[in-house]
Amino acid sequence: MTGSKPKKPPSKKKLKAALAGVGDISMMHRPGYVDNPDCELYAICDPDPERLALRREQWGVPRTYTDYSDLLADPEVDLVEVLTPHHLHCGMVEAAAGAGKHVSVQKPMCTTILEADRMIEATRRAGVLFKVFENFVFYPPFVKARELIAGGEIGEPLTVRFKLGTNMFGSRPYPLSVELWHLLEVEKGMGQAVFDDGYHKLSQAIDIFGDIESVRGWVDRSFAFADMPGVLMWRYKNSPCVGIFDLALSPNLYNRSKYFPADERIDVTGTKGSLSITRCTAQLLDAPALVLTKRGRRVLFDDLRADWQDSFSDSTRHFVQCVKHGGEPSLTGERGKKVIQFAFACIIAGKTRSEVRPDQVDDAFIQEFNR
Amino acid sequence: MKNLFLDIQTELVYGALSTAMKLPDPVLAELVRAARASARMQERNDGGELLLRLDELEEYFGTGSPLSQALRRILLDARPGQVKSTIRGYLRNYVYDW
Repeated sequence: MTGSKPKKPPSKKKLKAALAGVGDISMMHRPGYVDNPDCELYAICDPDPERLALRREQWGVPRTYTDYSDLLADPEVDLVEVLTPHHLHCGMVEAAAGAGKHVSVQKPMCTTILEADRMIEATRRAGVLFKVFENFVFYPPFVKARELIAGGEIGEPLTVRFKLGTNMFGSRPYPLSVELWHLLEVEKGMGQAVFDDGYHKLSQAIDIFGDIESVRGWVDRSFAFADMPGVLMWRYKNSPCVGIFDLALSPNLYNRSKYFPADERIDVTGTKGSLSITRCTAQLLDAPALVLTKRGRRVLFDDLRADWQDSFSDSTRHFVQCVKHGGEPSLTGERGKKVIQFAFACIIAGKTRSEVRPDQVDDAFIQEFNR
Repeated sequence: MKNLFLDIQTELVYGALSTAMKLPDPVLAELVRAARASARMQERNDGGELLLRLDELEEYFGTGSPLSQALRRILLDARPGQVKSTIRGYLRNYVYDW
């Protein structure tokens, strides 16, 4: 929770949620409200009237707005999900908090550290719940893996390896506009791979073993906007475990997916066992989503929910539960700030071949690097 | 033989695209419109991907969108091997299904 005096949640009636921005990613957010006993999707807002009409027809949402301030003026709305390009997040979150709405913003929460502080402060002052939405930490095989690690199944964790392979064929066709606006951020040193898609893995890295001490790495560029191939390595503050993240864009690698053709894997090695997590967004490997290896045996967790959509829906429901029944979102504004500091540390370490501590990353540090 | 055929076709498409990226926006928009007929023939193979791309390209190049420059940069700034690998992937997966 970010505020000392949280807004009292309605006790019996269903909460009413609104999506601000109904582009491509909103299609993953909406199912979390379907058959949700605690909340309904009540309103959507987008400056594009055609897109708004399309979503209204697809989803049957009662209210639509083309003006964000009109949405916030609607007293029926309890919580707002901000699903717009990163540079718009800060002002929209501050406005939502000012209107007394609980607010969830798609990751990354913003593009500067100052904006992160402003959003945290605005929601704290307003006494509303604030979540930086990220879905991969809710991916059921990842959640199960975390349980197994906490239960000592692999012993003391020694290494964690994240892999992101970006491909171009095998998924549904999605609009170029989904990717092209990232070019505007590349100009400011934020690439599509580490800062945006990579955010998920960096978020998981913190979620699983805590805060990061320092980062080293190497990052190249693919096409004009993708900051990969690359290799990033880090040490944790409070865990002897070390982490590694490798990224590559393979344009001619066919990768079957309902969503985006991204090959994602996590391997955790401990003193007496190991865990492998895969699939999530796509299904390059025909393997169970979670495998535990210990004492010479492999335990296959092939009955877990492992669709990418599951992670979105669970993340949405978690926030709704916090608003409705009380509790602190696991992905707070402070956590979101830590992840973008980690992301900037990775980018700067990758470009400068130097060791960077996420704690030292502020806007002056980033500007010095971009100069 | 298939590989040689793909190599040659990839080079031809890459050459055409690289040249096209140096043309002014309105000319490119016209070229995109003209390419729509062949994209329709591809619809069964690629799930409408090429048609979607052409619609977007026509919009970006036809309206003077700032994204038209972004599109040029993607092609012109990339290493040729990356662009050719993408072209080859499209040909192999969606045109010939090899």
